[in-house]
Amino acid sequence: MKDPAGFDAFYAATHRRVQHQMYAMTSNLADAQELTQEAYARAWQRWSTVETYDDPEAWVRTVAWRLAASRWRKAKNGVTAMLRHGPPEHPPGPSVDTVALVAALREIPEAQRRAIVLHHLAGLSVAEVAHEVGAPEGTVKARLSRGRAALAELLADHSLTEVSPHA
Amino acid sequence: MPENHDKLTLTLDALRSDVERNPLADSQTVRRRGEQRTRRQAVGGALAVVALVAGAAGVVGGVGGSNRAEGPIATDGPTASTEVETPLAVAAQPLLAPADLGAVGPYSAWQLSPDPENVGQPFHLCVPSPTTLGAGASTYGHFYGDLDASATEHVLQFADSAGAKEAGDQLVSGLTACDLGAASDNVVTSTAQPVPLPAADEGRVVTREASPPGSDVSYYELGVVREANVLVVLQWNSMGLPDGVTQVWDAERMQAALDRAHR
Repeated sequence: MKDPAGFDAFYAATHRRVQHQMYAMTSNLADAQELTQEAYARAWQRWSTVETYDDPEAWVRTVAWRLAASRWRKAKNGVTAMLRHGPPEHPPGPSVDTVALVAALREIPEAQRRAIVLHHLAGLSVAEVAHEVGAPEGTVKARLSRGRAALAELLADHSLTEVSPHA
Repeated sequence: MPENHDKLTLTLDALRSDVERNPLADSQTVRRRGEQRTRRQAVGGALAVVALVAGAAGVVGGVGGSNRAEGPIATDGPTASTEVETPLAVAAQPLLAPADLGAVGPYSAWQLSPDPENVGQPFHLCVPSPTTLGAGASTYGHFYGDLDASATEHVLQFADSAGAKEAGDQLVSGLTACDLGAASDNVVTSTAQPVPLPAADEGRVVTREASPPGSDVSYYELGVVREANVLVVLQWNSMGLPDGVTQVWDAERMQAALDRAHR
């Protein structure tokens, strides 16, 4: 028997965070909404299992990411498909800074963007990011470093390159 | 947390304003979406069963439709939740693309070839051909690269989850219990290692490295990944474990295989 109240509480506590992270990962607000809702719908389908996990939010986030990756994979050229995404479709009145950030995130490689979002936005440690993406810690550190450098250049904010990843 | 770490976090945090202006639906709507999805899957699964029973599914190649059915499924009635098994359909083109396989150590120039002549031949002496395990339909591809490395993929559609799980068990146990007598000298076979895949029912990998006297080292890796009644069998063979690789069938490739298979 699934527990709607438990799911509702989980959703209320986590969905804005996941949507925010998916927005940063996809650089597209409409995609972020769709992927996030789809991931939670799948979580509800399996809620009796998912709610027993140590970190159900990580499950939802990973499913949302894999859905995004699947869509990109289905395109003939994943990079082309990502570049085809226009600016956020329904962002009423975004600030100039937000537009620039979204554009910058779209420019850096997918793996670097994911590492940056998980580390700097979701607050995961390098080891936790490595576990979630299935890559060695050294690879994650390299992705963070390169991603920050690329973002700094794109945003003309070189203070971003001075970051040391927290363990 | 260092100050400059806060700087990047704050920069990313700027996106929050967009998110707050565009809230998601409430949780009841999301639950309804999940339940509608379940009902659509039930319809798709029923159609898949009809196709299987009618013998519409071919034995080799190009099987299935474009149904986006997924499982395992929990269907909610108006007042109670009931677990219901609904078979999934495979995708029209369910095999990995060479780009999905990507670089495996030094091997990267893959070509995918459907090879019906070899489809029934075991890829390893101790692992039965996946096509002999009772699947209603299967699709097979052989990845050719350099001469000393190759891979195969079978996408198998069973009538139910139990059949798919049993087939996966047979493949895994065939390898873990493999005894080829003298030819098994200097063999290291791993136990079945679970591969965590959030959108799959199970993923397992078994490796076997053999260095018989007078022969080169051979490396074989079996990956099985399953969602409901769809089982994907991935096999790899090369002269030794490729440099810089700890596991060929890692989570990324296995999830890609499953994504291709039925979505």
